[in-house]
Amino acid sequence: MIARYASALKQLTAGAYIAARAVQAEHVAHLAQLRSRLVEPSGARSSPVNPPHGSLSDGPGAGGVNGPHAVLGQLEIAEQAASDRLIGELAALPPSLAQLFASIAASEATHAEYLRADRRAR
Amino acid sequence: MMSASGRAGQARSSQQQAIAKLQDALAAEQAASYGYGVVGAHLPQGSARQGAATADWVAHMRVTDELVAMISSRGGQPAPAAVAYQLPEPVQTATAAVALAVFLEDRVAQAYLGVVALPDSGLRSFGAQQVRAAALRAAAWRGSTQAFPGLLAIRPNG
Repeated sequence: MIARYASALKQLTAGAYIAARAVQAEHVAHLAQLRSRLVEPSGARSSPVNPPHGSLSDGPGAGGVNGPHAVLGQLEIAEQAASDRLIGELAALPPSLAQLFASIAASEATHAEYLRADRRAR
Repeated sequence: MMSASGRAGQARSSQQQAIAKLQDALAAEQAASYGYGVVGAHLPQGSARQGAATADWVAHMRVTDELVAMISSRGGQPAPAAVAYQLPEPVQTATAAVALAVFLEDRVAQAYLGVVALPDSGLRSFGAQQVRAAALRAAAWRGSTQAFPGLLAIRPNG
């Protein structure tokens, strides 16, 4: 999601940029928390930790977007999909990680709504 | 290897744990239902915000009913709502009313994270859906999003 936002930010101007930048900052916080809780297998230090959500290059919005409305629309779809995916993964997790996933899923749902409202206001 | 009585005891303990977390969520919902009465009373009559407060109050009432049924079906006795609740701050203005709505939703999200920690996958999913619903309502009142709804121990940038 962070990389998706980095790509999207290049296509956004003024108000939409500020809105998306604020959301991206929350994804950075999500990643930091996930990294602090997930145990990396030994010998895997050279490869980046993959967050369990927000695939960086697949899914809606990965390509073919143009214009701020379309960019925000694709981010909305990606946020909602990420939220749903996280909730779908809860069953297999230890309790404290399930709580973190649920909280991040809730945050992503609010991102989708926030972006939707911002897009409609433009 | 665990005996039959050991397994039964474990199941009973797990059920009691589930009932306790559902009771916590019920208490948060009951407090929210009460609180939204205060919120609505301090918002301009007929305004969109008052309409939103009414819709959110109804949403909390519906989930309260659902929780009562869930607790009862597990053999628990749903705790009744209190007659009145202590508010975090006095509410005399629309701004304070909005702040109270945010507070109530944050508390509800926090309570449902307790349900998410339970081993039952159905309850986990239910809890997560309710955390999400509370976060959406809180964001609408707050006018901004949060990185970790309900997880008060985590502060972004902290």
